[in-house]
Amino acid sequence: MTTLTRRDALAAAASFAATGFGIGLAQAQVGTGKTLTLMVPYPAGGPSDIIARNLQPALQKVLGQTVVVENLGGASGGVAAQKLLQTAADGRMIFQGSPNELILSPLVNPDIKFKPDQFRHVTQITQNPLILIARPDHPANNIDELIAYGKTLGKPMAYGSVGVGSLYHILSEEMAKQAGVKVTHVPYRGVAPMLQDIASGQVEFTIFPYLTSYKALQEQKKLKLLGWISKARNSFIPELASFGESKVLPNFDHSIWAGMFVRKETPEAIVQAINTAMAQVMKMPEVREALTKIGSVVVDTTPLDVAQRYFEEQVKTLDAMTKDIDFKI
Amino acid sequence: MDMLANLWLGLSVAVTPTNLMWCLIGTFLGTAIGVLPGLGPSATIAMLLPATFGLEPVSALIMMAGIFYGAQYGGSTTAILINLPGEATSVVTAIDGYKMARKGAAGRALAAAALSSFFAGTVCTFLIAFFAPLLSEVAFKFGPAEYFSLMVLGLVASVVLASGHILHALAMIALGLLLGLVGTDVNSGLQRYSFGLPELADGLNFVIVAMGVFGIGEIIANLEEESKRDLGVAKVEGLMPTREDWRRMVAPTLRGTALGAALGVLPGAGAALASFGAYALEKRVSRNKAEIGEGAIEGIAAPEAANNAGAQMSFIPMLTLGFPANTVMALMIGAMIMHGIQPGPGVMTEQPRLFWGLIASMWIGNVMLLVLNLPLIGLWVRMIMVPYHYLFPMIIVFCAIGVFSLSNNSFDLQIMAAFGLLGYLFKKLDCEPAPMLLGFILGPLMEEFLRRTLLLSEGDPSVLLTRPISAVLLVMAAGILFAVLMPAFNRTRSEAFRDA
Repeated sequence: MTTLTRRDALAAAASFAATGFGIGLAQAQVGTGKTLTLMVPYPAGGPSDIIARNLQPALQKVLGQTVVVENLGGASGGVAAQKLLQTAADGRMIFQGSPNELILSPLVNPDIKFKPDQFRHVTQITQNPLILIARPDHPANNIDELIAYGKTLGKPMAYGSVGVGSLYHILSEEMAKQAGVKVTHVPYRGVAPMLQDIASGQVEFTIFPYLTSYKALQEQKKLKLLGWISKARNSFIPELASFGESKVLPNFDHSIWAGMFVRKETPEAIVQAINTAMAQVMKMPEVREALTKIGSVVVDTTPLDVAQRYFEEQVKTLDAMTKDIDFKI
Repeated sequence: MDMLANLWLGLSVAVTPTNLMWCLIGTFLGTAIGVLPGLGPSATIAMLLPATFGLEPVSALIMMAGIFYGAQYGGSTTAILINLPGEATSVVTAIDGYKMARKGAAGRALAAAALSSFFAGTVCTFLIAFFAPLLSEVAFKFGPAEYFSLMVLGLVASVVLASGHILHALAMIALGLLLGLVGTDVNSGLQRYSFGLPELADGLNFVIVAMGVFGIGEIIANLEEESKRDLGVAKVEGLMPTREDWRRMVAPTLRGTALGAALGVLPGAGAALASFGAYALEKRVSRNKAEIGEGAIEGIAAPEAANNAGAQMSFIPMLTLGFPANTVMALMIGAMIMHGIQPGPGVMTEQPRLFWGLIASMWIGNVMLLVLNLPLIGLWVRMIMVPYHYLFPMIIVFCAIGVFSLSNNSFDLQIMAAFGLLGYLFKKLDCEPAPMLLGFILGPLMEEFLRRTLLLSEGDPSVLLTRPISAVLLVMAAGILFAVLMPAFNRTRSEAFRDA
């Protein structure tokens, strides 16, 4: 049968964010001719795979080494992350991941035994802006009106997400908590059934990464865009208001991002070499163009210490947000 | 007239030599991977995706679409010849198809599958061309309550899949429902029956279960009985359908096409039900219903028409809205994005060459499949006459390749082996695996839709009866349950009394 699995769904949603590539490693340490693996934690064909396949030739060129994209799906990226931890810490396997696999997956799934601090964040690659979306006939036009609507509804507002423990689930709960409105979580097995039920008006709202088809879907009355979940508007749809302009949640600013990871024990020189190679790759105009086409914002590579600090902050933020959510319904 | 102009535009795109060639490559490749057990269209398309970067977007999509519906054709070939359905949609085809093949009528069974698929494919291509935007609206009438009631109807109707004892069938359905629970619970995120193995977090994959139960299980059972080994050598009667076959195929093909087209419009859940539903329907209404399950041509024509119709219709939400109804459609959306086309409602107006070219190519592709498949029937039939000691290692190797290609994880192979043993046990116990697979497919969906219905109604189950579509479906299910079960149980009881 052909239903999209939760894995596909999370892959599609999260992975708009997840970019990973394997990067070439330090020639000095690994030696030219040795093959590097760019691990994509989802099956081939999904958005994160598409990003990897766009990065692979560029990375190969920069490093002068063969780079192979490997797809290993399962447990919302958890299986691939565990495989990375089983390989030697020599930087020859680079994990293209996002907070969904490395931070949220172990928080939600007790069978996932790794912890986020077993990974070393080499650099961020992409960032995907998030949008608040409502059913097409929703009376509210922005986040303020949605919260006001929720407060007068007399019952909790039903909202959808692509799965328990997905970033979108956690952000929706956090949003409701900060705004003081009651909500009911309705989880889906992926992007397609989620959009389907928004279009047919089954749920009130959802949070989702920006997709290039939203504008046309809004014109066709299949959904209603309520705002960018960020301080400032985004140039993908400049006429759409941002949360920063709202009265209730002016400081609610979130996005989903993807980056490259290796095992924590990887020697510093190799990590540095990957970071340097990625910085070159991400400057190539053809790479930037390809990623922008997919709807991702290309992020300038950061020095190692900045990358690591950012990852640790994310772990703290998400840890705090998930504290109050009871996953065992 | 607009529509004709559009179709003309589509044809002019689809019949350029380049696009014809990609269409042929796609359908040929699709047939080939469909025939190879275990290899599915999604794995193939995913692997080929990077190779399509250099093509024109319309050529790339034409080829991918060809792989998808070509695999629907090819999949029935292994189901009929070696009782190995590689996709959920060909599980029921295997029931009568394999029995026909063992009676020496493999050629006629394959021809029936190809012809009914071709008919359904043609009808649905035109339905898409004329009514795609309209049909995409139908899906929005279906909320979780309606989907749940549809699943109930499907499950109840399929109790007739049982060819043996009704209790065996019910037990197999229950086992299937349980197997379907393995993995992450959508509603709570809890792990069920995963024994601490992250590999089981996404549940059991249909292909792995089917390869194990049908492929490996069947092989073990065949090897045990030396006399049964050369299963194909029953004298092969004519390869082409007889006049009688033609007559018997017409009504089931029409009914299967209609049902498949109707259910195929519903994303995700519909396609799985189509072939099971069409088979169940024939078992109730066909003039030769007594023969169905024993190798009747109706039992091939109806589900094959339904699954091809369903497959074709699943293009609708993808083309009109950019919503993927299944994994293959998700990959095609990925391909569009990579070629810089924004999937969604804009495709029809902004990319008319692509939209209509793809639709026209589907019909051309269906013609190609027929031309490709009919002459090949003789070849396929000869294949099952290969001595079994050559054939069975090949089947195992292809099953293993297919299963490994799903997520490149060797753990999946171990699961397949375990299901192989289970399949052998089923054979020994005289339990048909088809009802189990139906429970396996529908169980998790039913649970998901029921719990979603109740979440949205704040725990009030009465919505199932107050929403009109849902109520009608449930009443139909109750009616069928009554009609099917009462005589069966009465008979069992009277037999029991007689024994006593």
